Amino acid sequence: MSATPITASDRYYRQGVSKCIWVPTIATLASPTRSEINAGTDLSDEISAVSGWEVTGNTEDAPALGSVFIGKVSSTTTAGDSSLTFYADSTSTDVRTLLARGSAGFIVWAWEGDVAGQLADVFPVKVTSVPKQTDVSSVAQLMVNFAITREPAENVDIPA
Amino acid sequence: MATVWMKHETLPDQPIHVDEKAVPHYQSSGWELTDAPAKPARKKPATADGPGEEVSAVPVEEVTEPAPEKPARRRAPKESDEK
Repeated sequence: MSATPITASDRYYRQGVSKCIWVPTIATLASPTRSEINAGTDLSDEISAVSGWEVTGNTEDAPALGSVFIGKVSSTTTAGDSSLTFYADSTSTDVRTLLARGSAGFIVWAWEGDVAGQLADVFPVKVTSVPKQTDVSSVAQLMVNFAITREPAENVDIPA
Repeated sequence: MATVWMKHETLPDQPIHVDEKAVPHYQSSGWELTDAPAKPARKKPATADGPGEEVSAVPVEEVTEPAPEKPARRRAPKESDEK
């Protein structure tokens, strides 16, 4: 007799599947409604790079005189600065006007697609800056930097 | 930065306040321009003595009761009155 193996995953590739949605208003962070998500803007097709969007749990050392082993205690939780990189438009009609510096709202990550019953992460955010990527030998792009303003809601059910 | 208020027909109670330049993006998602929502009633801050309470935005006319009629003053009896 041995332990039951974990359920085998149906593995996938994020490109073409994951959705990143800008939602300007969500009444209850842990349970966004279908109307709120549908009133958002699907950014996925214009995103060329992603950085951050991770919640990190910090720890503190808890040494004890009676042992040489230094244990750890879980302490604060943080989400580092995060960004999305977008393609720039040749007529300036791009993400710059939707996500200008100071814009506040929510980034909903539907990692396996916007499919009811699957799980998503909801990040309350504020845009801190929108610098141009100035590499002359690559396709023109813009980086949108976000501050995550409150504790994100992770693994929330995507509504029908 | 000029800003405007917008509302969505499926989210009538959740107007959003956005940069004027973002309007075309939001309009393509079904948002429409609207007037600024009415200011909510002010709240008295909570104190150690108790929770705050809502204060009407419209000043309430103070109701004043008429001053009670003064009782007739009695003159203190004098020695001459007793005679």
